[in-house]
Amino acid sequence: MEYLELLGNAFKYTFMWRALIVGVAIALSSSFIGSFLVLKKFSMIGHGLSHVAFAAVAIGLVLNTAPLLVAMPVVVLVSIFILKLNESANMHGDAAIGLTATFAMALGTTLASVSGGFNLDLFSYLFGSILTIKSVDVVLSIIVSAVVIIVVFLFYYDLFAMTYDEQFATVNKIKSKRLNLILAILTGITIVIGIRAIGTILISSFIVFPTVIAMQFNKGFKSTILIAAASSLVTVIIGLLASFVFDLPSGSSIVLLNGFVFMGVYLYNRVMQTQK
Amino acid sequence: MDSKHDIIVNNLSVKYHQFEAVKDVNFKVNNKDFIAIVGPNGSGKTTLIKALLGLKSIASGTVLKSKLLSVGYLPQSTALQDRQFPATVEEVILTGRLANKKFPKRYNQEDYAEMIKVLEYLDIVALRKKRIGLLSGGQQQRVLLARALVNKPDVLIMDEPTSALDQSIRDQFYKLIKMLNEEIDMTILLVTHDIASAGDYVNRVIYMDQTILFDGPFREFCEQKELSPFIHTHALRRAKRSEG
Repeated sequence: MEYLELLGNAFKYTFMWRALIVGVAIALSSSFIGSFLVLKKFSMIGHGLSHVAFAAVAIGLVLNTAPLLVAMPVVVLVSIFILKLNESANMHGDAAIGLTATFAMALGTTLASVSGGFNLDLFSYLFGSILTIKSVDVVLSIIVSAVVIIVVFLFYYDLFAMTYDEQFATVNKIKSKRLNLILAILTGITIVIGIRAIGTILISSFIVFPTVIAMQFNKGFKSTILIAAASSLVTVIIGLLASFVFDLPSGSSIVLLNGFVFMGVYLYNRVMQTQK
Repeated sequence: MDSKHDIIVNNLSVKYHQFEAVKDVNFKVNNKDFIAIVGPNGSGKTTLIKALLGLKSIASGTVLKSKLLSVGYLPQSTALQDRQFPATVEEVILTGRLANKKFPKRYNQEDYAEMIKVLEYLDIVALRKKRIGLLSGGQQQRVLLARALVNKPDVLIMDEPTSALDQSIRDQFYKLIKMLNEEIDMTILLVTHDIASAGDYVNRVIYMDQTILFDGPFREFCEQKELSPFIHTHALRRAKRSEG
């Protein structure tokens, strides 16, 4: 009863509404992009970029400016850099991500160490805190989410063709390099927007989990994206409410919930397969 | 250029860093040709067709083809092995219709009608709503062929299309390609190791090892024992088959 009462009270707080709006916006945009990234075997780009975001936030705190304003251009540029490394320098995507992620993490921790004084702030960016979400974050996340959804909608068939078979797409006059660039930019801005609510450590799960969960349903591409978006929405909303009710960190609540959903769907699939 | 359908390759060279994978290659693809490009591993066959398709930049020389020439491409059968990829046969085939579409690209009635035609032609209508990763190797190859054909190409370029297929399916596959060549006058360019199976269907063989060492009919190709043991083996196999 106590928990139900708490749940009822959750909607009375402005910060909770902000968190829910930001969460829904990130859930939609990251699951839309995630479907292409995971299937292009670029799942770990979110992980790499989140480390870069960590370093950028540290720089922002050192410079005493809004950390996300620093993080946005830095993360987008590094996202493009990883893409170009992968395209031109004969470097595999995972190696390019590994390089940039570890370098950025080292930079972030060095800055945190030498500067001191902002460790508490940095901690809230690491694991996310719904209490820190401001009105400007809400507006920004709605705009970013809308841009991502519109771009994916407009380029959907080209993005799908390129994700399935990039060489065939190129032969068919699809501008794969341009699409990869668009995808890199969208990924960068989605990661940055998610930092407030989810934190740099866990934001990459928003890219990977929804698609991997949706893939367990063995559907076509369009259905997989829609299932990924639906799954992401449900886990974000329930995860945020659970974090409020049980006083848990928001990011980890959502990621744990995603993990349980994945295990449930995976096991159900295995059981159904053995019964066939 | 003689006709819209011709492809003329002049002094073509393609490099990977310092290594010249394709060296001073000259040939002309005529309308309705069915050409097998053969050669040992690393002889530059795949690089050559990638240069023809615009997938690999050219170090020197030219590839002349009409802007009106529509090209279908069937990649190596081992290239697409992601069985987890969530895509239906319909979704994959329709991507072959994107080439001439304007932004924002959307499929129309004609696209669906062409897809159904090609599904019927290749006898895979029943697979339309199935997930491609769940199909057998032979079925997947037919789907990818359907994707290459759905835009009604003038030229079909294939890279080792049968390398992952059983012998019986290979023969069916070549018969099908020959039918396209004869019935709808489609020009075919086929990179293969399997000249023993494909030889009976092609009208021309190009043998290359960085550069072109032979260009002519299969019958003459079989007689070129001095060129390479590669040819000799196939000539022997062919002789044995005709004796049998």
